Amino acid sequence: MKLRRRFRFWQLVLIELSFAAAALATEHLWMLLVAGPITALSWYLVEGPRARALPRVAVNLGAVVVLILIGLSTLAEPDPGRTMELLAAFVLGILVLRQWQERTPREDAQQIFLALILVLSSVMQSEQLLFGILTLVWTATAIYVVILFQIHKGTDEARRLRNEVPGGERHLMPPLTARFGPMDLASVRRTTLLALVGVGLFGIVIFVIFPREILFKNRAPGRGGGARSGFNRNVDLVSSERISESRREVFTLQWRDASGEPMRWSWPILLRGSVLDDYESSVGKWSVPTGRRSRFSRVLRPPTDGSFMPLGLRPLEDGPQTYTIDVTMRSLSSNVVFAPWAPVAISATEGRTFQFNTRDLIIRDAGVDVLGSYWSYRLELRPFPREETLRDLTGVVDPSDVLVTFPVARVGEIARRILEERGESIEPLPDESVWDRNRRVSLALMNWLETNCSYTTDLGDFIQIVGEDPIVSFLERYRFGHCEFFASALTAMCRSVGVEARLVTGYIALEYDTGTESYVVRESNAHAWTEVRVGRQQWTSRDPSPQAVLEEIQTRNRSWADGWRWMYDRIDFLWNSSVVGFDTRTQAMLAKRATGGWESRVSNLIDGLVERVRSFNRFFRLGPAGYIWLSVILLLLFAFIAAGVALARRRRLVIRVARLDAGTDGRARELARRLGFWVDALAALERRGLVKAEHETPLAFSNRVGEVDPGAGRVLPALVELLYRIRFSDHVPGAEELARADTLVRSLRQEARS
Amino acid sequence: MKRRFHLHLPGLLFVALTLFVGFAAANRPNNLVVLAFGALLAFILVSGVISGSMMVRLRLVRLETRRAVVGEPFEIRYNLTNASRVRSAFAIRIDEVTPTDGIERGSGPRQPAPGWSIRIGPGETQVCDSVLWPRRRGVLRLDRVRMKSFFPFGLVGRSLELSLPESVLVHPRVHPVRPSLIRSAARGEFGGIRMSRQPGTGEDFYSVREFRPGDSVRHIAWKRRGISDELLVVQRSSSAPPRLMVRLDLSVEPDRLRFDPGLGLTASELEERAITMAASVIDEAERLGHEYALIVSGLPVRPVPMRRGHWHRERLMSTLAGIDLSAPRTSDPEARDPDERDHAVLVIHPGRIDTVGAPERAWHWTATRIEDLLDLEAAGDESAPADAPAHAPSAEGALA
Repeated sequence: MKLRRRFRFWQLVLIELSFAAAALATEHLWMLLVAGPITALSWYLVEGPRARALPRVAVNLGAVVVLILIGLSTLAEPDPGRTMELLAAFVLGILVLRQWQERTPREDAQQIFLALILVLSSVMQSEQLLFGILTLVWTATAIYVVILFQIHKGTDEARRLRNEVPGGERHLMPPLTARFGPMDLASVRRTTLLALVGVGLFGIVIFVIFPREILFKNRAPGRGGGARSGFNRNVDLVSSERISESRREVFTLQWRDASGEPMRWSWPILLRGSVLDDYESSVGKWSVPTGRRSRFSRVLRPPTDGSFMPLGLRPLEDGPQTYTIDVTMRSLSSNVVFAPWAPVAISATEGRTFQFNTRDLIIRDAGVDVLGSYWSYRLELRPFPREETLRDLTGVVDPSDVLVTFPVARVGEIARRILEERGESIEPLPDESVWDRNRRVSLALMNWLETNCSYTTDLGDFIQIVGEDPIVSFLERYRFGHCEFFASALTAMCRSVGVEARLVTGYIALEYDTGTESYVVRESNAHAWTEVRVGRQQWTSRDPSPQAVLEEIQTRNRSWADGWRWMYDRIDFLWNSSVVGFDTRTQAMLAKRATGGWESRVSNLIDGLVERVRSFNRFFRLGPAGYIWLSVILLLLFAFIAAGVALARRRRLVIRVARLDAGTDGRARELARRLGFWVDALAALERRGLVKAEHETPLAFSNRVGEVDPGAGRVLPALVELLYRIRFSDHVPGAEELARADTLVRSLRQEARS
Repeated sequence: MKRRFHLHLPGLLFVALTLFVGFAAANRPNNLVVLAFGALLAFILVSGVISGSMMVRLRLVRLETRRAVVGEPFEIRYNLTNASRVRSAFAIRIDEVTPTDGIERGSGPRQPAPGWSIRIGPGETQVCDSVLWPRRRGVLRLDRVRMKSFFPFGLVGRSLELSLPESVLVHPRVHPVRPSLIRSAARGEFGGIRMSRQPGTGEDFYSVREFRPGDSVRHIAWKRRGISDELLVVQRSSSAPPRLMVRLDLSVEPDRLRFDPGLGLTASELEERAITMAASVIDEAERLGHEYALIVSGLPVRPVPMRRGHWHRERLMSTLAGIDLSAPRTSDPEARDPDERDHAVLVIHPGRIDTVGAPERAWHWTATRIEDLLDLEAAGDESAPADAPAHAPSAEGALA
C-alpha cells in the first residue's frame, strides 16, 4: 500500500472511531449507524480507482444545511446542557461531508483536527469504561495517523515544489527520490508505540498532579462522585433516579452460621449503609445531620491477622444467634461498610481504620492509607440482639433522641385515616407497651402500602407538583414509585402518628448463587427501607416495598451475560476508582507515598553514613580531631574524583574533535594528551564566532579564519602545523613546543575577550 | 550551529485547544476531561522531545557542488547521516539558507525545492538533494544549511542550522542563436574550413617521415624507396573546423555607454545581456563543432585561445561567469587578437556598435537587439529574462 493510500485508510479508521466515541458518549447510536457506513462508502468511491468525489460547492452547501439543522434543533430545545452534543453532531456532519470531496493535505489536517474536536466534545459527556477504552484506541490510532500524515504531507510538498517548474525546464529538474518501504513502515510503527508510551506517561503524570485541591474545591470528580453503584447516601425524592436494570456486581456476601458453614438466610438480607433522620420538606430530601456522626463515633483499628475486633466496649461472649458475613467488593469503591442489623465485631486484613457510629451502628472506613482498591471485610453479627448487647454497642443506657415528629402535617392526616380504615388505634392498647404499639402501627401502615401502592422504577408520570410534598403526592395522587418513596412514606407516616422511625439506605441481597454459596449484590439491588424503634435500643426493619415485585425485577433482568460480568466489572471498577473517581484524597495519598518514601530513604542513608563515620572514628580512637581529618580526606578524595572525571571528559573531547578514534593504531589516548591545545584553540575561536565546520580540514579552517580575522589568522597556522606534525608525523612535542602552543592559545583567548 | 524550536499555525491552534480543554478541566470536576487535558499537553511535550532528540544525532555534509547556470535548476547534494544507534529520524527537510539576491525566491514556479528524507535509519547515511534556481551570473555564496522537522505530530518543529560556507560559480544563461547566424559569421572568408597545421586523416599531402612500428603499410611512400634505403611514410593533412573569435567589448565605462534610453534598460543590464549573447554564441559554436576563442576587451580577463570541446566550453563559460563588471575599464593589450586574419571575428557590444579598433571584416552584434539574435522562446523560457528589454526592437540594424 502506498504511503498516501495507507494514510487515507487509517484516517478513515480514525474518523470512524470518532463516530463510535461520539455515539457512545451521547448515547445516539445513529451517529455510528448512519454516519459510519456513509463514510466507509467514501473509501470505495472517492479513494477508488475512479475517484468519484463531490464538488466543493455541494460539500459547502451540505455544511450549510447541517448548520441550519443544528440551529433549528437548538431553537426547538434550547438547553445549554446540549451544547456539546450539538457541537458533536455538527462536527460529525462536516466530517462525513468532507470525506466525500477531494482533499489537499491541509484539508486532511483539518479532518484530523475535527475528529479530535469530536472526541473532546464526547469526553465531556461520558465517563464510561467502554468510552475510555475507545478513547485509548482512538489516541493510539491518532498518533499513527498524524505520524503518517507528517510524512505524507512533507513528501507531497517536496514533490510538488519539484513538479511546479515550467514545462520546458521540467526535464532539468532532478526527481525526488523518496520511497516508503516495509522497513520504514516498521520504524513508523515503533515510533508510534514510543510516542504512545510517552503520551501515556506524560498524560498520567499531568492527570495525577492536576491541582484538584485548588480547582475542584469541594466538588467530587465524576458524575455523583464516581459512585455509580446505585447506593445513595442521601435520599432525594424530587430528582431521584433509581438504577433499575444495571446488572453490575457491586459485591458478594457470604452468610455463615456459628460453625462457619455458608448458608442462605431465611429472608432477603438488608445491608445498611446510611441512616437518615432528617427530612427537609421544601426539597423533599432525607439526610444525616453531619454533627451527629462525629458525636457518636468510635474509632477502631482491627488487627490484620484476621481476628475479630468487637465494635462494643467489651468482648462479646459467643451466643447461638451469632453469624458471620464475608463481604468481597467487586466494583464498588466506597468507605461504607455495609452490614445487616446488628454488627458486633469486625475483621479486615488490609489494616484499615474504621469509624463506628454508636447511634446508628453504621461503620465507615476512616483511613486514607488504603483507598480505591478492592477490599474485603468480615463482620460478626447478631440479627436478634439482646438489649445488653446493644447497650454495649451504643455505650448508652437510654438513648435520648426521639424521632416522632414530621414536618408535613398532611402525612399525619393520611396516616390516621389509613389506621382508622384498618381499625388500628394509634394509642397503645391496654396491656400493650409503646414498643408493641410501634410494631403494630408500623406493620399496619406497611401492609397498607404493600396493598395500595405499586412498585415501579419508571417515574416518567410522577410529576412533581409545586408546593406539594412528594410523599403526599405519592400517597394521595400517584400511589406508585420506587423503594425510596415507599420507605419515605412509611417513615413519614410512622413519625406523624408518634411511632419512632428512620429511613435507611443500603442494599438488599436477593440473589443467592448456590455454586459459590454466596449472595451477589448488584447495582439494581440498591434499596431503601424503614427502621422502627421497638425497644430502648432495639430497632426493627420494615420494608414496605413489595418483595414479590423486587424479586420479579431481579429475575427479569437476569441474563446469560451475568456469568461473565465479573471480568468486565473488575476493569470497570478500576476505571471508576482510579480514573473517574480520582480525587484529592487519592492525590494526597499518592503524594505522600511518593515523597514519604524518599524522605525516609534519604534519612536512613544519612543516618547510616553518620553511624559509619562514628564507628570509623571510634575504631581509630582519633577523638574530635578525627572528624577534621576525615573531612580533609573526603574533600581530597572528592577533588581527586572530580579531577579524574574532568580529565576523562577532556580526553574524550580531544579524541572526538581531533578524530583520533580512527586511523591512530590505538594511540588515541597518547595523542589526546598532546593535542589538548587544539581543542582549546577551537574553543577560543568559537567564542569569536569562528566555528570549524565538521567537514573542514584544519588547514582550510585556518585559511578561512585568516580571511575573516587577520589577528587569529596569524596565530592559527602555527597551531595547525603543530597539529599536523603530531597527528600525522609521529612527532613528539617537547615541553617548549607545548608551552609555545599554550601561549598562542592564550593570545587567542585574550583577543576573544578584548 | 543553531538549534531552534518552531511553533506554527497548527501548533498554535493545538495549544489553543489544549488551553480550552484545560479551562474546561479546571471548571468541571470531570477526571476524563483532566485526562484529555493531560494527553493534549503530553502531545505537545512528546512532539518537542521526539523532534529534539531526533535532530541531535543528525550530521549533514554538503557534497562538492558543480557549477550552476542562470535559470536552470541547480542541484545541491548532501550526505545526511543519522549517528544515533537506536532511533530513526523522519521527515527531514533540508533547505539552503542563502542571501535572497542570488537565487529565485517566493512562491513562483522557480522557487527553491528542499531536500527531503522520509526516514533515515540508525547509523545510516543518505544522499539528499535540494534545488535552487540561480538568477544572476557570478559567484553564488552558499553558507548555512537548515535541517527542519515537524515530526512526529506537526505541533512543534525543530531546526538545526549548520554553517557550511561554499562558493559556486554561476554560468550565464544560454539561449539558442537564431539559425544560420553563426554559420554566416563563421563560414566567411577567413573562418571557413581550411587546412590544419597538424597532420591528420585528410586527403592532401602534408609531409613524409620515417616509418614507425604501427604505421600502416598503405602509407609507405614506395616511390621514395628507390632513393633511400630508409622506409618513409606519407602524412596527410587534416581539415580544421571553422574558427570563431568571440570578442566581448566591455571597454566602454557603463556611464559612457551609448544606447537608446527608450529601451528602459540600464548600462549594466545591457552588459549582462552582452555576456549572455557571448555565452549563447559559444554554446552554439560548440554545438556546431567550431573552434572558438574569447577575448574580453576592457577588463582584466585573460583571453582564452582557440579550442573546442566540452571542457573548453566550460572554461569559457567560467570566464564569462567570473567577469566583474564593477572593475575599472582599461585598454588591455592582452585583449588584442594577434592572429585576427586566421578566423572569423564576432564582436559583441553592450550598447551602440563601435567599429573602431575592430578587425575590418568582423561581425558586430549589439545587446540591444538580443531578441533578433537569440531565440529566447526556444530556450523554454516562458518569460523574458530579468535583463530583457521592456519592448522588442525591430530586427533592422541587428547586424552591422
